[in-house]
Amino acid sequence: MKSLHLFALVSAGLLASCSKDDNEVNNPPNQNEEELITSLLVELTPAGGAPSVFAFRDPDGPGGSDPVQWDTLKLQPGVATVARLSFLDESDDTLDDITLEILDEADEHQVFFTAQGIGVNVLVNDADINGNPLGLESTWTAPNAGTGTLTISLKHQPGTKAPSPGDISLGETDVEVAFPIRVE
Amino acid sequence: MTFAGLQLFAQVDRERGSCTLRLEGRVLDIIDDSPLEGALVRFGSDQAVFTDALGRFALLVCPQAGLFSVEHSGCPTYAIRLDLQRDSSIELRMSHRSDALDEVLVLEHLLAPGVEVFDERAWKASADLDFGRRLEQSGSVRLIRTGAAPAKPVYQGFTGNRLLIINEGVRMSGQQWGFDHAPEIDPVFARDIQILSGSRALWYGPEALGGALAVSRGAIRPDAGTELKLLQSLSSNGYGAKSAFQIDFRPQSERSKGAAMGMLSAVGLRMGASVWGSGDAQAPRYNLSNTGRRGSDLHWALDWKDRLNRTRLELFYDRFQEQFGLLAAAQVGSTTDLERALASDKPLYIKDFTYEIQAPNQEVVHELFKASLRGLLSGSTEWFATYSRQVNFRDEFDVESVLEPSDLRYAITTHLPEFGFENHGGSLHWKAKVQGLYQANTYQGRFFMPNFERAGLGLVSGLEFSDANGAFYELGTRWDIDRFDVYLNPDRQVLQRSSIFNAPSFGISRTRRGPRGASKLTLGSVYRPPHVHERYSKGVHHGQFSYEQGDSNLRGERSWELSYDLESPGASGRSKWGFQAYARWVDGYIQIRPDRAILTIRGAYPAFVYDQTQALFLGIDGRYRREFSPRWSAELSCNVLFPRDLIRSDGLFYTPPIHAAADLIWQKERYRFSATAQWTARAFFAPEKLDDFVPPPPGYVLLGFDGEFRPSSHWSLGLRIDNALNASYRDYLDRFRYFADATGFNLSLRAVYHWPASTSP
Repeated sequence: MKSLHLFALVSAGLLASCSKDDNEVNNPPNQNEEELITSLLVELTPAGGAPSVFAFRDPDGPGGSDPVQWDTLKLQPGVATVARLSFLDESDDTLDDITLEILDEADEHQVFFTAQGIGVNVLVNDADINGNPLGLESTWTAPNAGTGTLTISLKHQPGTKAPSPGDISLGETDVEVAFPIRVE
Repeated sequence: MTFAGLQLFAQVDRERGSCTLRLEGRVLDIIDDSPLEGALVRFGSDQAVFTDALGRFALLVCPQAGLFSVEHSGCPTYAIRLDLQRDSSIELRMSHRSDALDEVLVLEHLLAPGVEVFDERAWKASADLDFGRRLEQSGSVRLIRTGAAPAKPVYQGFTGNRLLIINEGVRMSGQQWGFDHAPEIDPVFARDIQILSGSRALWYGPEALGGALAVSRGAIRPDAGTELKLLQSLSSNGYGAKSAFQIDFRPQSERSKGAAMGMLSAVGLRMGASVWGSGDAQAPRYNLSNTGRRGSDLHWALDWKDRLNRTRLELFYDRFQEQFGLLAAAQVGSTTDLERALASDKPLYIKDFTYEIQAPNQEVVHELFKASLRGLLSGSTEWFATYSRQVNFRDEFDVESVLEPSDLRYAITTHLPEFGFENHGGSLHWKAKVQGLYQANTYQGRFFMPNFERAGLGLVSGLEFSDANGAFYELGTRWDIDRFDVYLNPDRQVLQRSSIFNAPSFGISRTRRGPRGASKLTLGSVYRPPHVHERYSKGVHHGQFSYEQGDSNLRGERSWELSYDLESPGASGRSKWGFQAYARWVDGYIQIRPDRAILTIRGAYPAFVYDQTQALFLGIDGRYRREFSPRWSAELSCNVLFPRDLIRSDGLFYTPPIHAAADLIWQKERYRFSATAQWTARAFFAPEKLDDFVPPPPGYVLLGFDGEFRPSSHWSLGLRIDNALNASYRDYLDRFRYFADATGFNLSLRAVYHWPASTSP
């Protein structure tokens, strides 16, 4: 009987060693199937004027080819301009609008605007369910003519999103594009 | 096994005051384990004793390589060459039949040239630590850390694929390439870890540019009966705990009970398990959020020999599992985040202590199964066949973003069969084997490294002999051929890229021993084919805040090594000193270097590419030990490495800075206390021309303390203090030094139970 116990024990151990990789080594997944944000579109509508769309586009994602489009944003001095942002995945044939997912998780996201070399006042128009700023729609006003950069950062801050005006140092950066900006 | 009161029949040479190494053991009948009295045991030219009524013997000998032989009426004479540098214990089972295998069980440290074994006391005192931190206690092994997560050993500047990790004789095969991929071993009841160099490392596998670290839990209890080991430890930093047990069992040998019981009596069994866990680690000034760990290990082993001991079977299985958090503040998504983190003197994400592990984190499972069969061919020649299978899963979970999860899962399966012959007899020891390898690696989720298959074949040989002047030679050679098949799918179309690497490696050493000590000269050359991640990785390397790009045109690395070891007992007989000076030149040394920054939608990102250079590693490891009195002793050690990129005239990334340690030890019977000071210098030899985000951190000093009390021969109680002054510091080899200080003060308590009584004094 003892020997039966012994071999039962050994057999149990052998069975426990049967972990297995079920993936086929010679049939790898598509390397480019990962969901990306490849494009940031900024629609600017000056008060009393028509909308214009400016973009940053890097369709093949990080690495590979350089971005194919990186526009200079244009504002008029002293004119309040509404900015609406769209975040897209244009890496393959089907266009994915990530903006909708950001809206769904608005309490975990915030867009931050940082101007350098030029004064741009940004007033965020939208908010999440907690009343904290979101930033997909905002109003920009540049008092004076000039050039500089305006960095648009989308931060993912699950559980850490701070009350207005928010804290850019928290969370994961999903997007960070420094657009050249010209006010004339 | 204690030898208090043992009657020595030794003709000990009392005049040789420095010859104080103790070689002791037992000689038993291989069939029924009865003690063999009156066996003549010899070591070297002039040392001989007879075994007592219990089959025991003890000799006091000089450190030397010599012939160890045992003669007993009715048995064939047994002889083996031993290289003795420390107190050692041997258990020998002899057969009255000439066609049965004798069995030697080395119970404690038995040094051979090319092998460095850690101090036994220090080794046992670190039983509660993980693999990397236990190795670090040795002094000559440093660690590449990822904050408080499991750490990766570095020996004389080599790590990852260049440093083999051997677990119970099997080369560990997982994802060795990442700085954050530590070996998956729980060494809680390991007998020791040996550092193998030269031909001894080559025996286990190719690519051993930096040698090999071999972990062994020792053989299963040789005597009939049960042996139990228990460990419980608690630590204050991270409020962690570890519990472990290991039990050995061997039934009574009863030849009269028929064939079934005879089979059973030849079987030895071992089973062991451990669990551990801790919450967030603490730096002196803040909590290191999301650095908790929890894991478990299960292992069992079985040995069996036939009644005549012509055939022996060993099975071993180990399942290691661990989940660990990565410092939350170290997950940066853009260069701006990185700059913001670098500008802050503390992590940008600090929360209250918790045991919870959140993203980013990793979970790894490693299974190892080994079956080994040895049999007597004729005389003293054995054949052996070993098969091992390893499966390694590694899941890397990143912080959630708005996108679909970009988690990554690697699975790698490795089969290692080998077959060969070994001859133990006389003064010439030779062995040879054919070693196969098949490996398949797959990934799921975000792309970083492609699927690949690797198939290899190695012809390996080892030879040891002495010349007429007493010099001892070791020669190891191997020839490896490796085929890599890489499967890419860049655009919904599978592309296969195949490559074959084919090269020899060798190591030769000459050891001379004399009254003033021993010296060893080693010359070797080792080849390592480029790994798949070095040739085909592409993408953002999370946790490394970089975009990496492999180079499919990389060729293999070829190292040339020249080293000289010297160990001397010292003039007074109460001191011992030694050093190893080494030079390794690596042609085609593969390293990662910064390239132009790439522009992404997350801003400019540092990009790194793999390229090759010529690297030189010049170093010296020194050690000194002095006994002031039977109770007081001191140990000093230092490791100096000068790494150089010969093409760029620059340093090399992530090579260990100068390190020195001093230990003051007091011991009396059941008590032992040691105080340790460790100094790590600033990394003066770090690259100056390569971008490392921030300069190397300043050097630092850490103080530690260890106390051990043995209330009985079964129990050992210990207390250890790490970073006693709660110093704030950052280590050059820590990948998270950009974000946070290293861990602060820690108090650990441990209790070890051993039944029957511990074999240690």
